Amino acid sequence: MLPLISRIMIRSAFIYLLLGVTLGAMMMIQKAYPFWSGIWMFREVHIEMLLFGWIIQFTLGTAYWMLPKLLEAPIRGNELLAWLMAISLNFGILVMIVSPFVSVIPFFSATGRVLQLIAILLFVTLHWRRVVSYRALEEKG
Amino acid sequence: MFPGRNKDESLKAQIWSWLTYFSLNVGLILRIVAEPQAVFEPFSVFNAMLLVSALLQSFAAVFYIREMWPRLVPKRQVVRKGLSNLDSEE
Repeated sequence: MLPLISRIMIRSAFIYLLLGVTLGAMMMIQKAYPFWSGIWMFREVHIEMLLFGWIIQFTLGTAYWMLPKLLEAPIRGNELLAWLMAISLNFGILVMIVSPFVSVIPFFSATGRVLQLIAILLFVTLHWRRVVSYRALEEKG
Repeated sequence: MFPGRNKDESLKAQIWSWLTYFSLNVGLILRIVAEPQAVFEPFSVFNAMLLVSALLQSFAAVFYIREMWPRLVPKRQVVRKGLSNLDSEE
């Protein structure tokens, strides 16, 4: 069953895809028909949205759903850690999106990257045991 | 892979997927051709191609989300809809 955490992460990824592609399209149009040079301020935001917001979030959300489940409950590992992973990743992305415009606050962008790193570490922790074949588990007994 | 895929493979049934495919690929091809040329020949037909490319790539994202968004439901919701031609495998 497609778990709620995956649904939220994948739908968030779609929203970032839409926003990121819209910014990218505006930058392309700016190259062809200049209308506002300020659009280039959003280049980092565009990259952050498409790299972390779309690709990475979509991958993590799908992997949480699809990787082999554990044979004992909870079948996808500790659900609280999974929620922390999703929240940490999305807070990290939001901080990184805002950071180009609030550069006066020290360590602001570093905080965003640390939140994203925490999310990745939580993802690896949660899924390490799930990267198995059921045949290997059966042979182990 | 995702639940709720329509097994009917007619063009009408999978219109959003086909629109995504063509918009994205035509958009990328136009970009490959136009973007380098637009640098050397400003205010030419290549600028118009770049504009069309940007719009097509944006539309591809919209079409893809339009196709996928309703499919992100738990299996029981797919089954409850009672649509026999939907693939509810997860």
